Amino acid sequence: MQRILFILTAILTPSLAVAHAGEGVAGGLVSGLLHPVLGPDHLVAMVAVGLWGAQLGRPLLILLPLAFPLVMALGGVMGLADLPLPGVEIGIALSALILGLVVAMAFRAPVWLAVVLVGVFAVFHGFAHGKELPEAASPIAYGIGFMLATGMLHLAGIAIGLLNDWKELGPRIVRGCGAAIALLGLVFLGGALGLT
Amino acid sequence: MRRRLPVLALLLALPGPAEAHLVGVEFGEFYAGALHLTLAPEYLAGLLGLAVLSGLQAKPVAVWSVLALPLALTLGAFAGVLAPGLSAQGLQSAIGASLLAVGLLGLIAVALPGWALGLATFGLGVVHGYDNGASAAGSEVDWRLYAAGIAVAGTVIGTLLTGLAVALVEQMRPARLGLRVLASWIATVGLLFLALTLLQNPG
Repeated sequence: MQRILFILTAILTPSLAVAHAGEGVAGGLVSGLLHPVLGPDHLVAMVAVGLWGAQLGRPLLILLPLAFPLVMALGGVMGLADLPLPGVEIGIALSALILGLVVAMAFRAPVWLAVVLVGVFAVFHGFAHGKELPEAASPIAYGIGFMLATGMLHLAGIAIGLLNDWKELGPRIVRGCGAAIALLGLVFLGGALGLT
Repeated sequence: MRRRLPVLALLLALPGPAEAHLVGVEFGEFYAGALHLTLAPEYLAGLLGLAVLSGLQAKPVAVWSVLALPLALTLGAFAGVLAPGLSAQGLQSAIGASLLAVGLLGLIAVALPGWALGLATFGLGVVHGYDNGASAAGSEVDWRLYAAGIAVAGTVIGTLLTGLAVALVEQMRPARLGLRVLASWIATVGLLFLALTLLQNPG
């Protein structure tokens, strides 16, 4: 009976009216939050950064999620300034493919190489976000939204990557996730090159 | 207790009256000022950035931020409503730069002396307070109430966030890393906001 009351309460609770989701601060925040999440190429690459960080352990567990947003912001500034960056879609697809592969192979990269690799790909992701920033209903809310979404996706990757400590099966699951991301990256790359 | 929970949940779920126009009630302009700061993400990000930076300092140092914030917000808000002459674009750029600065300082978790944290807080508080206060320029609001609303809201939010950050670091050592990640996000948003204001309105 109590459960039924709880369920009824949850169902009957009035939700927010979102008739104008694309307007104002809320609209900007929502579109920023959704941009990395609804773009599968962005999504899998962000998760892969977290997975790889978890595989590599400290200091990269912290360094990669710290470096990614800052370099992504530089890419965003390039996008805002309309600077030419050829092959943005190819770069984003490659980020999923390469980051997926390094996770699948559990590649123990030195710190500098991991930071450079992730940083280069962050530029492409930031560029794509930066291009959309001026059109957002509230640019700062859009920026906060996509930053939050990116961070949450990194955290999701780290959380999955923690399975690595789970004897035998854990590392296989993490590497399997990497392989799946690499496969998706291959599909995205085909799309970006006009092959699919 | 378990029997009371559904009733409590039901009471919480009841929709309250919509109070979209608080300016119609007594002290409405106080609330208008408070809401102007509270509903804008750039000001909240600034207060969060300060709290993160303070949380990464030793407790006696963090106190400087708590002391400087009300003074800075009050000065800035009153200056904004009384002398709103500064260019809007310049102010927006300054807000972006302030977010970038506190974000970067938090990211590298630099140990600041108390006076330096107080100065950083003062700078950010004056700029954010001024921008809020200037939003009432040209309107017929009671400027004293409006500026007081800005200063009180900013002080309450900033102090609570700072207390939370300091307590988190004290209770859980790994929280320092979480705060640094948060600082990197604030720096990112600040850099993008700064670039947007400079590039969209050059000169």
